[in-house]
Amino acid sequence: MKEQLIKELKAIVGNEWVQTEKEDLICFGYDATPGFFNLPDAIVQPANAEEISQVLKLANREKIPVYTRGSGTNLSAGTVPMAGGIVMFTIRMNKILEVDPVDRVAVVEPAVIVQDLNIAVEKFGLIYPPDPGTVSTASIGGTVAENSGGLRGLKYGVTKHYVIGLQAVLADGQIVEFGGRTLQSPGYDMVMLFTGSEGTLGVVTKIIVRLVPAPAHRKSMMAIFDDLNDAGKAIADIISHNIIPATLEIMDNYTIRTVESFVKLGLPVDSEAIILAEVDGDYDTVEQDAIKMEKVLRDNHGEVKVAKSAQERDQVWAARRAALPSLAKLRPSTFCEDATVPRSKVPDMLRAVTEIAKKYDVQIGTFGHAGDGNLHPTIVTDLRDAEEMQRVYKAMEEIFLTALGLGGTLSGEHGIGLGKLKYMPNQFGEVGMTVMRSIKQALDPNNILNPGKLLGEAQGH
Amino acid sequence: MRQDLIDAFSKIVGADHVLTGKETLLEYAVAVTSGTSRMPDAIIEPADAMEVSRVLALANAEKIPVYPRGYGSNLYNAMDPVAGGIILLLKRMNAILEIDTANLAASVEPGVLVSDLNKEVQKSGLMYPPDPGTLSTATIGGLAAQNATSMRSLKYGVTKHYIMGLEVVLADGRILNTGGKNVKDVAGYDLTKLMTGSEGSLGVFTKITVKLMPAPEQKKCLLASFKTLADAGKAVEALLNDKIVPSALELIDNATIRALGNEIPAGLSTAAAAALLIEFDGIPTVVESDTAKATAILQSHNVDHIVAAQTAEEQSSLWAARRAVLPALAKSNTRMYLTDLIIPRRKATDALKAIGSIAEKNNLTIATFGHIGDGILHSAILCNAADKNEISRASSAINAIAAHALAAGGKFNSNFQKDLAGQSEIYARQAIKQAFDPNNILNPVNRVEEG
Repeated sequence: MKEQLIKELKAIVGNEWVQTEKEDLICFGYDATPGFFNLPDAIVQPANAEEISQVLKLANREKIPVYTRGSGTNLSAGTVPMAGGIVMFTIRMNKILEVDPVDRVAVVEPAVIVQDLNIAVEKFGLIYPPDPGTVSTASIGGTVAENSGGLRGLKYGVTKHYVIGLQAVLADGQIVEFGGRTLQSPGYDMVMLFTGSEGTLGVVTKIIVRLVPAPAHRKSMMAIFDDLNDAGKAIADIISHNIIPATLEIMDNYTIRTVESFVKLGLPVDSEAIILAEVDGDYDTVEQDAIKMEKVLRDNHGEVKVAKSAQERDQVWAARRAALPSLAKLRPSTFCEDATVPRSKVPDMLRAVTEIAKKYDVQIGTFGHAGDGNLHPTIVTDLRDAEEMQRVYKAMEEIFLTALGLGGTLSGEHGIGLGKLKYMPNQFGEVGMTVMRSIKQALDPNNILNPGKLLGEAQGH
Repeated sequence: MRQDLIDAFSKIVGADHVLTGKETLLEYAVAVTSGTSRMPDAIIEPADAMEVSRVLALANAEKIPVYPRGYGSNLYNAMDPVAGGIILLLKRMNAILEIDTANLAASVEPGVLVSDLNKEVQKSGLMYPPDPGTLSTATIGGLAAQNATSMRSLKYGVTKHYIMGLEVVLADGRILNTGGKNVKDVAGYDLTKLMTGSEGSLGVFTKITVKLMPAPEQKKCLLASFKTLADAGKAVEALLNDKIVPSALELIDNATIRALGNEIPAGLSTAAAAALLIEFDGIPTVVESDTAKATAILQSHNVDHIVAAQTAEEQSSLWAARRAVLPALAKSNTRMYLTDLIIPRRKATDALKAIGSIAEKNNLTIATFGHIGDGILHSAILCNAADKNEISRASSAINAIAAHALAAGGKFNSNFQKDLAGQSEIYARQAIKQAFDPNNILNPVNRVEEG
């Protein structure tokens, strides 16, 4: 990047908020996705929307790529600066601007950490439900860009169900307000278009989210299955008994064995699957649903343990929380995917993943949000082993195409970024891809915002 | 419209399904400005997505305006053929294609009545929650195009929360598929949500996949009337602050109650300043305890009278009264200007008071009712169509209500008002419209200014 442009950037945000030293640039060359790295030319840390607007005007004039970044925890390489340019690091914009317990909304800046918002609203008896695995490090701006999910998606939905208003800066520097503090807003739903757009349509500078009352009561249980088919049927039966658990998770045998070898929770290493479930809500409904759910699990040959205390509840969820960290310890590189299928296809998908692991001789542990069809086939491998990586990429491809074949989607909660880009036409078809590119073209004609992500290259003129 | 075009459309959908008779067209005529009206040039009734696609491809090539339509129960004239052209009538596409109980989803054609879908899924113990309940002729296609709210939005959300996937014919005839049956799907831009609520201006929906929910075991309703609007407003705040979530929380004001005439439910006085219709649903013990809690809260907030509807029959008579509101208002005077206010909940009472003073100041009857729990209010301004002066006062009242809603941090929507969005937001919306429909053939110019 030309020295003159660095000077202009410094004039906008102040000297100390522009970094160009190699040591700094390296830190921003990657995110939590293995296999993608590239150096940006500059890191810019704006203080507010006005500064972002000026930076974007400059970048748009000079056609410099801009990558918005919060905590960099994303799993689809969405924040990697593949074409160089500017990383727009929003970390200074980290204030909770308002919590309104009567209207049940909060207004936050993008770099607020998800968990910090939950701590701030707790005293009003409220929660902000989206809880990605990285809840203690992920920034809300990032979760909006990726439309992050979490463990409670089945009952509570994902990030987009809670975002009702946005302030964003468009590629040409215009500051725009979409939606607001109300449930509905007239006009096209630009809030929903921008949520999950992976930083390709604008830079989000303020977020208005909806809050909900914290559940008064909850109950967790664990069920152990010798046969994966029984576990799959139990999941379907829970829903068909009109129970919508807050959380309904599954772990396969590979994951169970791995977790047990690292954390020694006394998990049955021979069982094919474990289901972990929690119902929440008012006391009576929870108690009634828990009894119904326990029966459904037993009727499907599950060995059920119901948590009788907060401590036992924590033990149930310790196993689930240990899944990804334990798998990640096995080998140097971890690919945690999020291929998602309609709920009824979860058993088919689990079986397919097991077969794919055998076929390509790779190690895959699968766990995830069975209740909403969002599985995490996690491949553990070593990026340095070129031969094995060939097999890993083939296995990944087959996992994605299998999910699509089952009526699923490439991504349930991590986004497309770069990792799954290749398969987008399989899901969206030519019409879908053209339409999405025309939206990108309409709002970012110079293709400066996170170029190459989500849609691939070549949408510019 | 040229005869060769009529012939070409007839070839696509069959001559029986292209209507150009003057009497038929007159039924669809709309007031463009005071005194002048506009008829569409043809009514076309396609049978499937392929026919819709071919009709649009031709209309696009010839730059003919197209207005998609179900039964025309839209209350805001949002689909009126103000530029002539074609009305694309989707009534023939009325099949329920699939009910998938394992995935809690249903796929339907756009002309399916929401009440028919609910009757069908009820058999499996399920429901499609965002049923406006007020209109027996509302189609799923129309509700999706408008992103309709419903009386149960407080607990269950609005239409867009239930649209999982769409088949959409674009302006140039291409067929786009978005979403599907996945509860979580973050791949690509959310075209499903962009399309939902786009009022037919980005494409024509030909198939809609909706999310279903387990139906509640029990319901119970309360009708609570108040001597002052302020008391009703305070009671609403107290109910919501107590974190009991009613499935419905509706308000009707005095002007609305009076308009009900014979439909007024037993136990409600025409002297009441406002009444709240409150419904709880869930398992029986919870419904009972929530109802008891709500009753106690109402009693500590100067409620004048409470009617509890226990049986299904009693409940449906209360809802019948709520459903009667719009028809009653529509016939009580010759011209009704309906407006939508969407305001932060805590400002709802202020808004009610402000509307009262606006009515008084302009010497108008303004009836206000709506989903007070969500901060969604409808104010109907009732005028004599022949009274030019009254219509002009109505116009000032609409402006004043809009100004109040915006000042309170809310939104305002009315077909009789300019787009109130900011300049940058309008820019972004226009860029999207231009990208989807460069010839502007889909539902063009549907923001009429009057007064």
